[in-house]
Amino acid sequence: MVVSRQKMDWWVLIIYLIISVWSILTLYFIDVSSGGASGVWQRQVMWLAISLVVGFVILMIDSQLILSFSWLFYTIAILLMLVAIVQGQVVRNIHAWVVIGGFRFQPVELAKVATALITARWVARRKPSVITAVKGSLWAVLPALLALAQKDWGSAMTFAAVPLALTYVGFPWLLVIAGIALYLVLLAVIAGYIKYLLILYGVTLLVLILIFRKQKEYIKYVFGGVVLVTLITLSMEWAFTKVLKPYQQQRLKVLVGQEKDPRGAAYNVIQAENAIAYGGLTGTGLGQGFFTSFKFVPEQTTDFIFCAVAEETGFIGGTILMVLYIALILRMIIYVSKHRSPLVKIYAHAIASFFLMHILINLGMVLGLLPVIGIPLPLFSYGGSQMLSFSLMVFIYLNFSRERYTLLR
Amino acid sequence: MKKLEDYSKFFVGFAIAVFLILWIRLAYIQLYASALKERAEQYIVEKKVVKPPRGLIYDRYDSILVANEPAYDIMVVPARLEIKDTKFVASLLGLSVQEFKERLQRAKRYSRIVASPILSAVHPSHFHTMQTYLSMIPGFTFRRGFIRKYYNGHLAHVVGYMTEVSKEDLEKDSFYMPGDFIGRTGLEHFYELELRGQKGIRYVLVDAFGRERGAYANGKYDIPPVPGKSLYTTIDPNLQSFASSLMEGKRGAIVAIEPATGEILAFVSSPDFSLDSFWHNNRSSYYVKLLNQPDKPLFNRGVSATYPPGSTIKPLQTLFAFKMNVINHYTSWFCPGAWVRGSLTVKCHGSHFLTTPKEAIQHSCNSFYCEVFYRALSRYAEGHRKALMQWKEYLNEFGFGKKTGVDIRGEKPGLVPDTSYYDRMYGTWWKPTTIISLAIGQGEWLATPIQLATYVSVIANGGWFVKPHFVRKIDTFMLEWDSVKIDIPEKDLQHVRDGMKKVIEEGTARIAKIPDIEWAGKTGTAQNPHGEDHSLFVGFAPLDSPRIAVAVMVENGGFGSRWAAPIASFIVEYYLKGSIDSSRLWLLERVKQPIKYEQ
Ligand SMILES: [Zn+2]
Repeated sequence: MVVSRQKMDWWVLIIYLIISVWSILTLYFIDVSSGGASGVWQRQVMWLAISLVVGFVILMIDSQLILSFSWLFYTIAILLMLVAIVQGQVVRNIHAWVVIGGFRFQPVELAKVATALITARWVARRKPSVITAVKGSLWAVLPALLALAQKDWGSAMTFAAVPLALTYVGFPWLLVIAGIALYLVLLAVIAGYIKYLLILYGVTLLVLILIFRKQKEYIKYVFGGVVLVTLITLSMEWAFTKVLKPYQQQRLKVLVGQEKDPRGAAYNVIQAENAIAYGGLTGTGLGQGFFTSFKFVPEQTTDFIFCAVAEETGFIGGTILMVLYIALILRMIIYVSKHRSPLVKIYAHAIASFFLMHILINLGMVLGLLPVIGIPLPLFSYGGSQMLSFSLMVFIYLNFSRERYTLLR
Repeated sequence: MKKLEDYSKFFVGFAIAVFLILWIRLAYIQLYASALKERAEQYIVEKKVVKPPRGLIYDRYDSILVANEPAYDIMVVPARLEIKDTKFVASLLGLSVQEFKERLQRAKRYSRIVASPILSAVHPSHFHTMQTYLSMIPGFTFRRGFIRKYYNGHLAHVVGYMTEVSKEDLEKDSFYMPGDFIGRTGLEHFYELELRGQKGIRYVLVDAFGRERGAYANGKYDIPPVPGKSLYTTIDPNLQSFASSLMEGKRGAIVAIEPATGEILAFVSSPDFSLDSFWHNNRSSYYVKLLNQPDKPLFNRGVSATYPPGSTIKPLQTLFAFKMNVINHYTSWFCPGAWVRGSLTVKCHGSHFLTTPKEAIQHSCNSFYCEVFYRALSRYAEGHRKALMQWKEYLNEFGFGKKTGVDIRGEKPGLVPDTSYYDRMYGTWWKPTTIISLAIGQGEWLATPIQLATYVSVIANGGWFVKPHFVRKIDTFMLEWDSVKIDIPEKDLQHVRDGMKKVIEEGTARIAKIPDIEWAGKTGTAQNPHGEDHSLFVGFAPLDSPRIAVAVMVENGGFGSRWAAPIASFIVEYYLKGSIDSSRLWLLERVKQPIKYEQ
């Protein structure tokens, strides 16, 4: 007998639909105002329709069945990634596309859903602990390495979503913070800010010594910590300047926007910033964006689509879109918090985390805070792979969100 | 067992922090950073392409032949364009209203907001008046560019002309943008990739009217253009001009080569055309005019025109007969004035008693060559097919029947017929007598002037085939050109060269004798079913250590001795002595006369 204790999470479905439709509207106005019949928005409509059909099928399936397929799903995703590396098409320098039935597809997007699913299933069957969490994170290592092999840095980074999600079952959050700090230090080193970093460490040491001057027993830890961080920073600097060949250094510098870039990454960031600034509080109005309609921002239908939103609907529109995203993320983990199945909660954390990582890397880039690493804005950027994979995540979540007794062993 | 919380507080905190940071940044850009917004409203950063100067072309003494001259491209930004009087603007640009609208449409298709050229390569003299008016109309901008400047007016067929890129060029190679120019013929075409250089990029601040307001970030991101590479050619400019003057009023070609190196000293295809006119405002009508002229000035006769080589190849047929062992240096022959076999008769111009093959060259005796070619074809018991294939391969070694590989566009391979050719023509029943006219360079055999010059270079050069070429150095990089030794005994070559010397001293080309220069050559007459025969000559000088080999072809000039031989002698004399002996000025006067053509 199937009895529902909790209904499906309708709000997430509604937010999902608002974001997807907004994306199509944005693409439509970009297309109309820039005078090209690029067919982009029509194709996005088709992708949304396909996603909804697939989503509907998923809602019909029993959740146990979905879970039992998680192994197969993961294996297929990994195999497809291997196929993409060996004989895939190269688009924008990324070896990440396979062609199935005439459609180009990026298997790494599929791997994100599969990894979320299998990690949740594996962790949920074990005692929550630091060890379980760390071991569970290992599911993300293989797809992340394969993404690196495809030169798809952005997607590789998004797999950090898995350890972030597993803070829920005990992954040490200090490690997450340390990871992020390390990444930022690395960016600073590549950008050539080592002097400022060392000054910063010195100042921090002085401040901490002042704070802890009464508790002598902490001083040695403070001292040790700062020395350790300094050593790590210096070894990064050493590795960057001595181990890497000049052309490799060059490539990394381009990535953090510190070098002349033949492909024009610096140019993208300048124009993105101009377009966003031009929007102001209320924006220029749909289809009226100066930068958008004149195609000043490259990739404005894909990675840089947020520029069009910010220019044409202004700070208000940008804020609403951000609120929709945070609402989606928080709603998912809080809605299932009373769910009795730990699996569902872990899964909700995992996909919320994938959304968060994508938004962080994408908007960080568009807003000029992070390096130019191409990655789509979930459910918004033009592209079928991205649309399908995030739809899959959401619909599997929606399926799980109905708590049924069949899910309880 | 640790109990799970409802959700990860760390995750929630982290997510909120991320969104707060992003949101604050958004607010900063859109609301607070008003300076930033002003910059966005007033100035736009535009990526501008900087054209590199095209590579220069030098002669063999490192003096300039082709350089660049500053010119201007007139650009439009369709989105900013405000034209009140279309007719006036069109006439200012020297275009019809229709043409102007078409070009504007093309610019719109390229981009509405990025400037693209509506009229390229405008000469400075025209540009200044245009600029005065156009700079008052929003949407017009200007870009510096280059046009070609030519220092020798007789090199159109060598240097080649340039035209604006076509739609196909744009699709094929992303280097080009609308309004760019591309080499179409000659060296400009063959060395396009070396000459064109690499484009640079400039980031500039542009205001709402499309006017430049300075460099972005002090040019920190700019990439300077890389100029095209220079070509150092083998052309002797004085000889080139002199040779051109000899061909004025005639149709034909002259190719002069330095035998030891394969370097082309002079290359004339007549009639010529003006390269300067390809940069004038009415360049398209000039091009159409050239296309419609009956004497086809755009047709490069030096490499693209094929003629039966006639008697000029008798030295080569002599070498082949030696190789096939059907004659030796002492073979004698009585010519009764014709060669007769069965019902076939090939006439000779007189009756000859020859004691050696070199005398056959001297007198250009047809019956001797029919006889030895017939013997060569009948050399093998298994029949004439094998011998004909051997002959064809031998000719291929000298450069006949295939492209020599000279470094300009449009070279034709000519034709050396082989067994399969005749099988297609006659079925398999053909006999040596069927193809006997090959013996004297008539029939199906076709050769270009450059092939004739290359072949006579081989004889001059002790049997070395060196690929003929115009360019010896690109910037500082010396080019290595192929050379192959053909297997010919030196004594055979010597014999043939003696014969060619006699041609000038006491043979068919006595008119080409030059005081104080001992040299060698061979006349020829190419049968022309459509009119008077073509006049041909090949030769080299001086005899002992040749410095120049030359082939001359004058269309409808009649016998080789009438036009081609004296022209060749003046080329040789001018190149070796720098002037023409006064005893020969009357002849120079005569060969400078134009030939009257029917159409
Ligand atoms: Zn005779």
